[in-house]
Amino acid sequence: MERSFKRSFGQLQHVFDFTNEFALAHSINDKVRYVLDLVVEELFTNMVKYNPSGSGDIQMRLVLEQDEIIVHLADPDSDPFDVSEHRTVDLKRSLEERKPGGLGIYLVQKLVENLHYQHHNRTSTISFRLPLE
Amino acid sequence: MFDIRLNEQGDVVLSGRFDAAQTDKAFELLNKVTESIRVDFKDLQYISSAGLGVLLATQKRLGQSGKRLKLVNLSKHIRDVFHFARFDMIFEIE
Repeated sequence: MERSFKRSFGQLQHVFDFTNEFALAHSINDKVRYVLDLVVEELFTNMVKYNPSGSGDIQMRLVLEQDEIIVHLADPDSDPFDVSEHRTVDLKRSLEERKPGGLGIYLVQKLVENLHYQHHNRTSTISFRLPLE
Repeated sequence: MFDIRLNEQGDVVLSGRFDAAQTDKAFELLNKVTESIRVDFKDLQYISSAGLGVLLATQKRLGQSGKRLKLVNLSKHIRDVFHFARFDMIFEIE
């Protein structure tokens, strides 16, 4: 399944409608569905937040292959920004020192082991595999 | 659909899905909170880092006057997210 979304946080409901459609079609359990929605939201909002003026829509593709969901998100007009690179978020900091920035990508890296990033002809493509448990 | 309201007991009640498109709505109510308060997650199905950020900012603001949020009725999935983010070390969770 494939769909395109405008660069806006307001598109999130449409993004979730898309993942919900996929989850229902393939009887994805609630736990996997939560992780799918969370990782997709963090990656999509990251693309919107750091590249609001890029041209073209964000494209998303979901594929079920054996016992895994394969997810692709592509921004067709972007500078390189490799979300799979290790970025340190110090989660041991006290409340006074904690800031929300970087938490979304940290969660993505924590929840998805095989995050892959590619940048070619100004298109950033992020893909990952999510096992069906 | 996300909703945030105060119930008759004076608790903050969250319901639906707390995603990045809902932060303004959440801040609108939480910015009015000046005392320690319970936040009921019973009907909340989903929260992302954006929602966690709103709760963190509120906790930090209240903490300056010795007040805090107390989070109750978190689902297993949401509890897992708090754990991964180590937010379970910051918030009082019942």
